Amino acid sequence: MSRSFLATSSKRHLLRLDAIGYRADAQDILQGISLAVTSGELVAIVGPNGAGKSTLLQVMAGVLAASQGQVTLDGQPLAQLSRKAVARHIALLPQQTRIDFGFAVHEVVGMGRYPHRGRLQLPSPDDALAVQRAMSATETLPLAERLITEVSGGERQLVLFAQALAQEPRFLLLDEPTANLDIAHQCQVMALLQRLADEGIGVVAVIHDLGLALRCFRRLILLHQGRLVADGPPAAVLNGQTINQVFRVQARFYQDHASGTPLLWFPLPEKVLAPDGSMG
Amino acid sequence: MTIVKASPWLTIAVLVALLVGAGMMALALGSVSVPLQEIVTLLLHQLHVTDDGGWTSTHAAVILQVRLPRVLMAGLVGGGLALSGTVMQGIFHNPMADPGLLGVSSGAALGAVLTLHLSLATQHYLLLPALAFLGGLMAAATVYGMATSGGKTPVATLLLSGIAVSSFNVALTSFVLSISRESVLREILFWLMGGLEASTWEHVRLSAPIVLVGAAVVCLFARDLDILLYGEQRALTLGVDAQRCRHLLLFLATALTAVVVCFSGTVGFVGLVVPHMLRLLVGPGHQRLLPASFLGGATFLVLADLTARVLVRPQELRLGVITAFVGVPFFLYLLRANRRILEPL
Amino acid sequence: MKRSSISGLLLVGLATAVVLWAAWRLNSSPTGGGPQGTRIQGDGFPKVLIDHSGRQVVLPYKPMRIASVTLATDEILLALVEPSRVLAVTYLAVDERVSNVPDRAAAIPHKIRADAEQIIALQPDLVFVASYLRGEIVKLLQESGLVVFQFQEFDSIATIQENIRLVAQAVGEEAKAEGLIAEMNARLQAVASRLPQDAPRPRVLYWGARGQTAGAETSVHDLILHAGGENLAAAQGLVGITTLSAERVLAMNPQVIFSEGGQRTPQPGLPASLLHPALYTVEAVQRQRVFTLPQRYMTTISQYIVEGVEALAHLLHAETAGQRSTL
Repeated sequence: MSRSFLATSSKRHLLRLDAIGYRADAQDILQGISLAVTSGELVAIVGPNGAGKSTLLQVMAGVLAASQGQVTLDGQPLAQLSRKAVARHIALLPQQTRIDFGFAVHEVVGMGRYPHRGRLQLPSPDDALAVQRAMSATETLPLAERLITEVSGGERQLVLFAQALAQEPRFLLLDEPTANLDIAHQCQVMALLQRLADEGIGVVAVIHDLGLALRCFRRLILLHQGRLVADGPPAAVLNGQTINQVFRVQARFYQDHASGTPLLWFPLPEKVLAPDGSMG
Repeated sequence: MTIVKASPWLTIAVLVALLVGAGMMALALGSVSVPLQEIVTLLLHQLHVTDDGGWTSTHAAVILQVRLPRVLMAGLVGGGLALSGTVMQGIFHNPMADPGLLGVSSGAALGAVLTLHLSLATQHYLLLPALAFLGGLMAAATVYGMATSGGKTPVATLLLSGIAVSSFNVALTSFVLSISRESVLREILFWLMGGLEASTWEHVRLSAPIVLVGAAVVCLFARDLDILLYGEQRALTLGVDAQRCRHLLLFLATALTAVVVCFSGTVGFVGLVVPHMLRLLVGPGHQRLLPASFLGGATFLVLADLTARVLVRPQELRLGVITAFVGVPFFLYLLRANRRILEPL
Repeated sequence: MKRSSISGLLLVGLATAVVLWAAWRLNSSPTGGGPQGTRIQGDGFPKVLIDHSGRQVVLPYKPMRIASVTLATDEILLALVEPSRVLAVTYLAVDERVSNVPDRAAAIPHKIRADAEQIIALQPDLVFVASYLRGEIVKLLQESGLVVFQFQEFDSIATIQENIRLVAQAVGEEAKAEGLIAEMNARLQAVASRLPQDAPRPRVLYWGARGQTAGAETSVHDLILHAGGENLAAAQGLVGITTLSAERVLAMNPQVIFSEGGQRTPQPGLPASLLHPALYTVEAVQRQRVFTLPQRYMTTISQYIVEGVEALAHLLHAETAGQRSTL
């Protein structure tokens, strides 16, 4: 398959949040969040809607400025770095990316090299190499000459992945990378994420599918109403009690005989809503 | 739908050749036909390359004093409008965006109409473009001011603000038109329909530096524009300072539009249709699209001005009429042939 | 809304109001405060032309290749100089609806408009343009070496005569101009002498096809005055060209209404666009004293205005002379 994505990287990087708070429209969306991510981790951020997961990701990437606390990358506060410098280390793939115009796939991936080029600089061989590696890692090389508007949704997602990888980031932050993907592409993406983590990139993804989070990620961060409720191995973070309290559903745990990976099942509520609105 | 796979340099070279060809044709044709040879020797003489005679003084006067500045202005106006339109379409993610979106055209029109109505232009003829320019900038500033709050200028608000200010300007312009007397009315209408018949070297000297420098700076931001197309969040995480970039590009597009419209009057469809035409030929990547739009727009308007002069001899049609007649059918064709481009919107 | 936005909007509103008020007030003068036309110095050639910015140009000899780019100078020139000296007249000069000299103009070799290229290509030695022509085009002509005379439009018979003198000075036909002016005055005097002495002047209203009327300081005002009528629009305090609605005409109740049309001779009746049903109560309509005069009388600011005076006088006073005007 593909060679190692990052040439050699044994250096470990640290992305750290200290008592982060984020406030907008007179509301505290995030409060008192402290965590640290190092290279090679495979982290999923889970939580119900409105918990602040996307906001947390954006604060981690430096897109949003924290109202309190600070984010540091290897000890340096993100706020002190230029946008381009941050982009060389951290790549954030938002949930939705507009694709209106018919760029060729290789052009789209090539945009990921923006943080590495000066305004007047011409493309260098390093750029071509990075694009090549990114596309081979995401298995999108065959699509190189096609138009981005003409490929399928799953392929488009992979192309955007490649774009993010072309930034040669230390940390890859993803907001629901598997949403709207068919099963095959979901698996492909998860395999890619695992491989990237193994090669030394810190991967942090917001995941809605609790079963996926439990199965594929090595560390879970549970957010609830803007606060960090749990942070640790998946089995510890997602158990029957936390799921009930935070997500307000019942969960049953099973184990796959062959691999031993835990599986989640959510039975539907047996009673309909009571007249006063409470669940049965 | 084809995208020219040729190298960017080849595309630019072809477009430059087309522009030069159109320019030569425009210099040769008109109420007085001047043979191409004479024009070439005349121009070479001006550039101190040759010393030959071979032209009549009448032809020299017509070519050098009247037609050459006019053709150059047509190129500058067409290029400026097309480039500005490309920038607008990129920033607003809207294929229907055109240079007048931020109220520049309507503001310039109001400035010009007031100047003509108050007969200020007869005091000094440069007052007309000056006040039109001022009107355009003021309108754009108002639009921007209204749409900005808390240091942020959301794109959707900018659009709506532009529509509001433009409507207001149009209302004021209509009012002035309704109280104007006959002789001025005709002049005002002609200005509103666009025309380059009063182009002088002074116009060229005033507009060329701004247009050429502005265009060059815009082209430097080609990659940023590409990335801005992918949404604000992705742009930020790719290292593009989206807000600042947009501010700068909109300022440049506004200045470009204002400086050309104040000399040519309101000329529609160039900024709307030319970017689409060129996008079909060279693709959506702005590194090629921006210079191509400029050159394509310049060629388009040079030919449109030529048509205005010679189509219904000896009358002269208004420039805006020609661009509309060409622009509208082409735009309809674009819509039909390229539905897919517009589908996501 | 924040305070700064409110004050910003108020400022914009105030500025708009000031601008509109200025536009309204400054509209009243028909000549609009435009620049002065060219003045001329010298008795014999060479003469010096001085334009409104003080720029001086020498006219070295009697011009033999004259180009005229306004209809007024077309008409004046063709009366003052031999046709062989006139190189070009305007397109309007051959239009029978607006021109008083269509036949003579047809013989002139070139018909032009205010297009720099066309004019330069003819290489005239004197060009008459309107004083309100775009400054850039005037500059273009001057910089190509042409002698440009900016003709200022005036709206009274006295100043029309001054203009005729100016044009004559430029082309070296001062004597002919005096003759022309003398003829004008004689004809006007003849009209004045035939006016009924003791009868009150009829209340006359000019109402153009688009609803416009001519108040004081217009050529039509002078037309009415010399034809022995009272310009109702001026009596109401109107200055310059303004629009009248049928309602106002009703209120004014003129005794005579005349409009303009494209035919060569005066006709009874008004253009259909003006025939509002409510107007039947107006005195002019009831007495059928409504006429349409040729357009060329309304727009001319040359010696032909006298023809208009004669035609209108005939219409106004034929009845009092005992005959119905045979139109």
